[in-house]
Amino acid sequence: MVEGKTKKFLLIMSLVIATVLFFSGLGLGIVFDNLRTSEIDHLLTKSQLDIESFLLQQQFLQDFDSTTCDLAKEQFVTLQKQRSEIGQRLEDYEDKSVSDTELNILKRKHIILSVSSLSTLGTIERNCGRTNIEGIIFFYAKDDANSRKQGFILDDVRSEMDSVTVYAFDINFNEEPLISTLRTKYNSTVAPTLIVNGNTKLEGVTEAEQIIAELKLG
Amino acid sequence: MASDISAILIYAVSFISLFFAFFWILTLLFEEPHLHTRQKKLKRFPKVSIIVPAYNEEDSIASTLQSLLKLDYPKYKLEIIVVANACKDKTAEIVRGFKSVRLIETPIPGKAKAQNLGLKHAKGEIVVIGDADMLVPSDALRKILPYFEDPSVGEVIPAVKVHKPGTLLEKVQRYEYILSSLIRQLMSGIGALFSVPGAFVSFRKATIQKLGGYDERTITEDLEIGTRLLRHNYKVISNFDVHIYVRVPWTLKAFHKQRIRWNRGFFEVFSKHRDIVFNPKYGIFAFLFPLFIAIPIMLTVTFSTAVFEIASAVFTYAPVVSLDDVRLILEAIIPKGPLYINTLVTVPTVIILLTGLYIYNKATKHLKERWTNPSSIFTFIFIYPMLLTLYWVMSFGAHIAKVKREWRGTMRW
Repeated sequence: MVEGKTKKFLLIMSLVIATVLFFSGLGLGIVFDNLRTSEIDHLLTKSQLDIESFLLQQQFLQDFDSTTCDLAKEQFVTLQKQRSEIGQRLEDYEDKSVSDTELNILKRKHIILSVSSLSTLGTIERNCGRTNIEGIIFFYAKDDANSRKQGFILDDVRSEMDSVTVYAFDINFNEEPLISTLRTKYNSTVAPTLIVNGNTKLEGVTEAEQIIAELKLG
Repeated sequence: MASDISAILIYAVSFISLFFAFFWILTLLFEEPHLHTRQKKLKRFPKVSIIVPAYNEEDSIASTLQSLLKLDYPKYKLEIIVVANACKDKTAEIVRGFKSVRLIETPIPGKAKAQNLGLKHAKGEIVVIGDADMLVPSDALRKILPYFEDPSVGEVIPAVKVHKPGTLLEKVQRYEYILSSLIRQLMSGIGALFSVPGAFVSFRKATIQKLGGYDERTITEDLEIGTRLLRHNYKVISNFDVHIYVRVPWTLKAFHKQRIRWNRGFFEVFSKHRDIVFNPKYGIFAFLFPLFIAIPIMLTVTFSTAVFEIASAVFTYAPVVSLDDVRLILEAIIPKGPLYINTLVTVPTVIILLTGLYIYNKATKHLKERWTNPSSIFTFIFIYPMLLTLYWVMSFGAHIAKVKREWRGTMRW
């Protein structure tokens, strides 16, 4: 039979080990959070620098001829792919984090980067004329089945048309004032909503065929 | 809000599970060198009465009695009593065929009542209560009785194993019984054993009479008497070197009935003896007793959170998401790297799974069992807890709603 002192020791030691492991687990979660945020922060900073460098190139060259325009479009498409991948990673990490404070800041940075990309696309089109880059603004809501469905449809559209660039914005993410500006600009209140080529608004789940038809019309 | 609550629940369950896992591991490490103590020699042979309550046990009573008659103990010091309670089959007729076995017939159903009736007629100094479907090794009494030399010992129990498991359900219960036997041995070592089986449990007759016999109002009278003995400062000892084999439910229907009865009985006993909780008078038992109620709560929280998450995802996505999209969702869930892992869930799950496997491995070694049948091991680890959770929830609902209880004695289990 175990002695009374040993019983106390067993209880206290188990409590200590459970506490240490519990907080180590939490600590590991926080370490993982930091790794996630620093990874995304690094990618965002790099992407931001790429866009700034790209804009500076355009300013430096000033006069646009067909060669510089083609180069600009090509670079822009590559930058958008990077931005899109960062967005996907942010979404993947969102549910795994112990705390979302840092992640929300990164989400804001990503939104700013996306809006900045949108305006860059406008600059390219002003300088080079109509590009074959098709921009779709996608207003979605978190944990909304229709938005998720629309996301899958947009993936299909992108796999069919290389020139399509999607700018996805969480319609309810009020921590970034730009979201409210975008909502007002496009008079968008429901999720999912698509703004195709800056002018056509499609509310609710829109099938791939209709999106492609709208893109071709635009 | 919902996710905040589920995060708090997950934190609480993780912490309590970690505490439990390491409490058993540390206890095992401390007790392991003394788990198989050298068998004490029986100095004197007290008169022993073995009481076997039986309700419609015509299939198994003969083999149980044959194994009892083979016990290595002076026959003139051994009394075997079968209490046939409300039997509608040939149980009594079969028992009459055993000349050295005493038969008491009663039309009143209920195992506790049958046991108390047997106690009333028993002449032994030591009383052993058995199940009508148990198989006992011949040296069982010689290994159990020496413990009664210590006057503070109130009850001695053996390890209970599953006899010839055939169906998957029986095989899974076999693992559960192996694990329970080790946990009981550890609880016995720290003086907190109250959860005792019903097969081949021994008492000093004077002690059980002093405590007023079995409580006929509870449906798990064996659990209740163990708890009552502890609260009266008697030791409840496990000797898991004695292996008793019993039949377990092999159909889901029978298993359902048994678990609802056990769980409701557990709530009843907990409610009856709730004043023990955290009462320093009762030592470590006062702390472990409430933690045992934490097990069903934790199981329920864990699995209901999982079920809630899955159900809300199904309700949200099923109306619009096609089967092809499900594949994409699953692809998104599968981690693409370490940073994609949800540490909040994964870390405690892995630790608890590993500690559980360690304890189980020790249990198989100490009980001379083997790891067999991967499918039943998988079912035991991943599916069986869900089934148990379901029964805990159902039992709690029935307990709260005060649904009429099914008494043992009107059913096999």
